[in-house]
Amino acid sequence: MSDIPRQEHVIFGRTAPTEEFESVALPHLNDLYRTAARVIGNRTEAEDLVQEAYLQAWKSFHRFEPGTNCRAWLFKILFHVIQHHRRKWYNSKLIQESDELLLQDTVAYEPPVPQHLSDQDVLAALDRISVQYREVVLLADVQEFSYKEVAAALGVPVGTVMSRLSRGRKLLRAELSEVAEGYGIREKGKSA
Amino acid sequence: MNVINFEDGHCKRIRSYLDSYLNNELLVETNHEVLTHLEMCEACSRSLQDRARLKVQLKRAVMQEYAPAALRERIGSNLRQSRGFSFNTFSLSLAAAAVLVIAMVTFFTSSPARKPLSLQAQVAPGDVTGQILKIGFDDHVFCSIDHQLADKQFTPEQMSEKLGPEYAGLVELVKGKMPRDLTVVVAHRCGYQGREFVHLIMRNQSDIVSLVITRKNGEAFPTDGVAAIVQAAGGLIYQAAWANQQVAGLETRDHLVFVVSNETNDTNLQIASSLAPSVRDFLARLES
Repeated sequence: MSDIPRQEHVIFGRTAPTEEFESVALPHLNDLYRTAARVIGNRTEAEDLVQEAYLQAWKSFHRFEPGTNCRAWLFKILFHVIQHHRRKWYNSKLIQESDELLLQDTVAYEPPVPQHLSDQDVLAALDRISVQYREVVLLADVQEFSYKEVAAALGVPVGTVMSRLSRGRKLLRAELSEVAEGYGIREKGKSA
Repeated sequence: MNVINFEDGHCKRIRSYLDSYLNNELLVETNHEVLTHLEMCEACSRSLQDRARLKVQLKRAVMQEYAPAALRERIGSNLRQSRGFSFNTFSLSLAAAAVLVIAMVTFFTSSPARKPLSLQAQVAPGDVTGQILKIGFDDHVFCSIDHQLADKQFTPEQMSEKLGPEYAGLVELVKGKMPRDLTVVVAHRCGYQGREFVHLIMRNQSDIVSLVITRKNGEAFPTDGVAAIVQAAGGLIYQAAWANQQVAGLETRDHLVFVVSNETNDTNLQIASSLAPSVRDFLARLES
């Protein structure tokens, strides 16, 4: 059941809920764009991908169930577009799940989180971690999607989301630790 | 490689839960176990604080980027073209019927493409305060009145789910500040005119009060020589009234906050003043 009734304009037996689409989908533009920009690392490409995601969302809007989470639905479409883009242009090799689990189990070191680093330092560190981890961190930590929603957006099992998130956060802390060392900042908990 | 020496296996196990704890994804029993451990383990507590701090800073850093205005324009333009294309794909026979239907519809109705709001705010050109307050007024009218959301009654679970973890805490916060006879009936996120709102609706038998929050999109209340500004509860509150609705507005660094109701001017302002400190604090935590 939708909060807001559909503003459908019934024309020749077809419905054109353009106002509703704009009303429910466009408020998420900033979130989609900033996520795509960080995942892709190229603002122009990110704009194109977000634009394509909105077009696809509009074309399949008749399948969108009112009352369900529009934001999660849009992100699922966006990542479908991003994955298609990657396959097309980069032929990217995805990390095998067994590798992820191995990494998670063997890395016991827990890097401290340096303080006094700028937002730019954090973003730069985020950009340096592998995209498979970066996208999970963005969806779970920045966009605050549930594990289930992240799994649906990326088309992976929930367990994979959990392991990638854990690993991604750990990598991010490690990157920041290195940045802090570069500044001569030594954090409590880090041995000399 | 540096390896942390966990005090015991329990610490190691708790730390393996901390990521899910941060995301509120643990089962109740496990959550309780983590909380109990954190109360007595300073090292794990510090580790959690580190992770939480990084999460907040990461979110703040990423959220500083906004989609270019040109992209929004292009998407809007694409939607309009896409809609036009759909019409071109109709068969000729349907097109002929369409002409007839259009003629009939045009003849019998003159309704515009976008149904206007039932209550309109008239804002004079150059009245920046009025233009900003109209943002909250319009969402209140669109959602609470025209789509009759004020007649709904969401459960606490529905409200929490619809607001999302970021804003779910607002419901309890508002409940504690409302006059006794006003109850929170709806809390959700909604959109109007391409803008996203966090919207709580409170009501009694005759009155409807909306708390409307939206992220700033470059707006800021003017601070010089504007009438109807009230210094209340540690900050300025701006007021306007349209169509028997009272609007009170305030701003934080990143948000605009509105209280809109059919109460009297004094009562609406009283509600806004009562909510202002807590809401400001709540949003400040999100913005920090």
